[in-house]
Amino acid sequence: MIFNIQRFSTHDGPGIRTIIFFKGCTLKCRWCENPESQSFDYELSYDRGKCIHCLECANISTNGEITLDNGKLRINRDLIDDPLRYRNICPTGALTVMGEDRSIEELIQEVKKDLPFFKKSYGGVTLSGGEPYAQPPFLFDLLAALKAININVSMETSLYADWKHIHKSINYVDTFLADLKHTDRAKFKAYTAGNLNRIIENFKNLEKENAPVIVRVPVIPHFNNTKEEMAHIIDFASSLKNVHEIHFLPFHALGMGKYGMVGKGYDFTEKFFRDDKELNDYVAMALKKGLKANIGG
Amino acid sequence: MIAARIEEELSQRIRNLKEKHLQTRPTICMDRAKIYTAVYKNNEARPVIIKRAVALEETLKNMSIFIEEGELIVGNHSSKLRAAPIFPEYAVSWILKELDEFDKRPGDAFYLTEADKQELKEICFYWKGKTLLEKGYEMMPDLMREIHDSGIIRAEGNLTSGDAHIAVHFEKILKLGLNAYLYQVKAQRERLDLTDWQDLKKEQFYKAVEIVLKAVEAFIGRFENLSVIMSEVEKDPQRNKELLAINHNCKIISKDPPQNFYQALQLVYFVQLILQIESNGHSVSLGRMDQYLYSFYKHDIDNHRISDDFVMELLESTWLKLLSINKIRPWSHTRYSAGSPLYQNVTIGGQTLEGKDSVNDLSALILESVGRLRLTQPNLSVRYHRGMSEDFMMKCMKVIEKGFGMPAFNNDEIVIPSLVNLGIEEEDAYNYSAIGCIEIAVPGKWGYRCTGMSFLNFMRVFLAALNDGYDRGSGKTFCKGNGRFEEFASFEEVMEAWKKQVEFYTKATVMIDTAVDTVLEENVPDVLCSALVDDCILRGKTLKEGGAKYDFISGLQVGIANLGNSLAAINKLVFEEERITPAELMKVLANNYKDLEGEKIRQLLLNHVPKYGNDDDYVDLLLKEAYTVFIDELKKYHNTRFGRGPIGGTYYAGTSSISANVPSGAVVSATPDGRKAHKPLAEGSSPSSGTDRLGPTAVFKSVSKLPTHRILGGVLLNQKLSPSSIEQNRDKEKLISILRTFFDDLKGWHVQYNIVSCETLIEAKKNPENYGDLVVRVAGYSAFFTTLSPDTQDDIIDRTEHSL
Ligand code: SF4
Repeated sequence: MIFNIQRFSTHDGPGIRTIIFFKGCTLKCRWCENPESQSFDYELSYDRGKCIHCLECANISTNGEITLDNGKLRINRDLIDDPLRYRNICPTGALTVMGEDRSIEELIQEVKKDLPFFKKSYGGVTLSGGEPYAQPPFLFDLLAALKAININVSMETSLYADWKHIHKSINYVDTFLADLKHTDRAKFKAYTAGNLNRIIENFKNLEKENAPVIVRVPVIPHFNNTKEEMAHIIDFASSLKNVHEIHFLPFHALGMGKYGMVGKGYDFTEKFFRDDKELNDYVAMALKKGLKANIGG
Repeated sequence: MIAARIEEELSQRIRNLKEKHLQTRPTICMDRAKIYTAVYKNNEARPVIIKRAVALEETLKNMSIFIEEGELIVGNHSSKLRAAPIFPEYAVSWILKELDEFDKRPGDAFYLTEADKQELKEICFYWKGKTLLEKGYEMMPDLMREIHDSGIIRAEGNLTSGDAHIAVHFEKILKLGLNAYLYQVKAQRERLDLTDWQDLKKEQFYKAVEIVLKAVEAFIGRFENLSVIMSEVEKDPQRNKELLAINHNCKIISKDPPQNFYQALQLVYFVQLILQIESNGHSVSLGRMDQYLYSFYKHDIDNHRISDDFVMELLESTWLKLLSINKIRPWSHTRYSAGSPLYQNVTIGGQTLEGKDSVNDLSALILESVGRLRLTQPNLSVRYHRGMSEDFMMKCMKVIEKGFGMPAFNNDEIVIPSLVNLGIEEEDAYNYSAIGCIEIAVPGKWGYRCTGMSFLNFMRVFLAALNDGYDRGSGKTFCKGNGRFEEFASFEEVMEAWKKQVEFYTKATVMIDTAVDTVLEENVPDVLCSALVDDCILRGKTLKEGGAKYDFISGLQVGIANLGNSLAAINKLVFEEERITPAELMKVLANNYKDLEGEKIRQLLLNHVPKYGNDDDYVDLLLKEAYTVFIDELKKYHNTRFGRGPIGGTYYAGTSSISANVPSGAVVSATPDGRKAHKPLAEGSSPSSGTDRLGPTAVFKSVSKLPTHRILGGVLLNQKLSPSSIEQNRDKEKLISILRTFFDDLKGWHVQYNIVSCETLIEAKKNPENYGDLVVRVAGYSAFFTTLSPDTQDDIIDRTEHSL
């Protein structure tokens, strides 16, 4: 299942790219900017600002799934067992179903639309998420189909995944854009639902396979945004023989509003960056270690 | 070297002149109006063309002239800087109506004294009942007049301002010099057989050309005298030298071909200026300036007679002079073209007949000087082609980044083959230039208005198709339809109804154009402009009589995207999904989506239908089909020059309606694409604002599905970019690569970039529904602006202000 396809991406791999976002991720980072990417199921998203209270949705709801309460629409998520019933119902797009089951053929069709742009810019497709490796059969079908039409593939991954899946994909992937969020196991654990060991393992395995990896570091205030922590991250990245490039991705809390829409709470309220000064320092540190580095990918 | 200088400051001279131009309050100059009126009054018996030649002659000999402090390129449009001359022979009714409000306009105000006002009124009274505008209305067949009054078709601009939209043969003028034209006319005149009525007409034309050419010589001579008089009292030795240089330049070029770059540029400017004293038209364009000036530049550089710094200063002086040409227009018109733009186009780049890149050092200097000055004039176009270097493309991007919308690109890869296909000789096709905004013609060989004839409001026509031919705006049925939409059983019947209406109105545009062209030909022939375009002198004909080598024209169709989106909405929601009944749709269209019920349907139309601009064949192909009906019909007709000499004499389609989408939308009720009554229509061939959600590659794909090779009046595409999205070189490189794909592979016609200003972002925050397509870069991310949190939006707004 995917949750979005984005054309004309210019910062997630070389050239002009189309990104396919997989839905579902087990890491659940607290700062995550795409809350709709976490669940592996269909979800209803409700944007109060767009709602005109036409009640098209409430009218088809049974058992009080969606009700009007004091002039306000209420989505009783616990009662909804089939969100798909609400697909395409809402005129304004206030109420949408997150998640699409697209066939490989449909996806290839979509990808092909920008082929001429890929060719001139040496671009291609970036698989992102969510976590692409969390949907192995679908992922491998897609990778095979992309390879069959000779499309350059970047894999954006947290590497919080089974090595055997990653290993199997190596021949299909031109570049790994692998997240390295921290090097301290305890801190990683405090901010995510994952285990850093597995990620570090996978980095080392990819090194052994000599797979082309670009390290991507989401720079998160209060989590890893100190020179010391960054120095460790850069040290680790530069210690890997297959890594020559590192990207620092500034955090902007773009996803804040989306949490409410999918009925989730957001407890990460750190201020986002107002300037790139710190990021520039990190770039300088990475350059010193012999890595190519930039802000934003 | 050139790149390094880009960021450098303007010279003190240019800065002063720029400041002066921008600070001067626009006013009105009475010289031209007074002189033209007197000549018309005193010469009533003379043939129109002679009257107009004498009027121009008297104006050039008697209007006030001056040379500004520090000016290197001379020649003034009117008695004061930024003063707009009046062209009473075209139209006066609006002047009488608006005279007392000129200084109260919220933008583009004009300030004039009470005495001037009084005099202007008297002049206007003389012209009342005699103007081109009034004659044009009288010439229109009754039904056409009614249609024109209804606003479905508008051609008024052609009557109030005359023709233009043309570039004269600068290359030839520079090569031969002005006197050579006189000799040519003399030789032609001697060959006439004056027992023949056609030759008698030619005799009048030649006589007029002679009068005008001599008047041009005299006008330049006046500057020759003025500069020497000024030099005599000039104390500053540097300025004294400059004045003497001006004096020498004028002396040479008033008769002979220019001998160096400076003189060539001065002559080009004089011609450009006088053309705009002769006619009230806009989009008088300069053609391929980097080509016809290059040999002069090269010669001077090779012989160390000129430095690039001085060339830059001369070019900048010329751009300032172009800006100094000012026009006053009716307020109704001004509202939509703020800043009185005159669309004087300069084209650079392109290729040679052999397919080699034409970009030279002068192209780069022109690009750089326009970028450094950041004015609205000239309107700079770059002719793109496959072989254009990455280096020059990058230079273009750096100017685009400055955010004043220039340069725009036209694409050789589609334009040249389309021109050849049309019957243009190869050598000429390879030499095309942009005219005005995005339209194209062969400079010096093509008649007026390769685009810019009447405007056809596609959405009024489409609504009539749904209403049995009834036009709500006027309350009239001009062409009985096939019944009302409620009675249609299938989508095919909608298409049939559209076909019937659009064919009727296509023919109507040609009828209206014919009336307009006829009064233009009979009443306001341009003598100088004709003399400078091939083959008018050879044929002894004005442009309007069929003097040009080529003469293809186009009107403008407004509401392209709205048409496609409306068709898709009807097909999908009414016929395929049956989510809306025909009666429901007609009801909400009539009541402008009133109440919750109306809004609900509007939202369905907005959000549940594929929109043009998202690379979705569903809508893109419907649009293509509907537009093709118009294009096929248009092919049947010809213009008033057909069979009178030029190659062509026919029409093609055009969409370069720059800002007409706003007034055109103001007269259209609600449309089935979810657009509310009176809101703007989509601009040119661009997607409806806010509906292209998939980024520029999808927009390019959609636009390229239009039958571009048959829309030679131009396929206008505006793309919005945030300043941050092209800040870095790697971003610029990516932009260049998608541009190359659009042009090389998808054969796009044109693109220009709007770097979104801070005001736009503030506006987008307030009215997100109109800006769904606005992509901004948030340092590391690209994001749709309207989806960002208010805080982030403010942050970006702050930073945008900073970076612009
Ligand atoms: S259908 Fe959409 S707009 Fe209507 S009430 Fe439900 S959420 Fe609101």
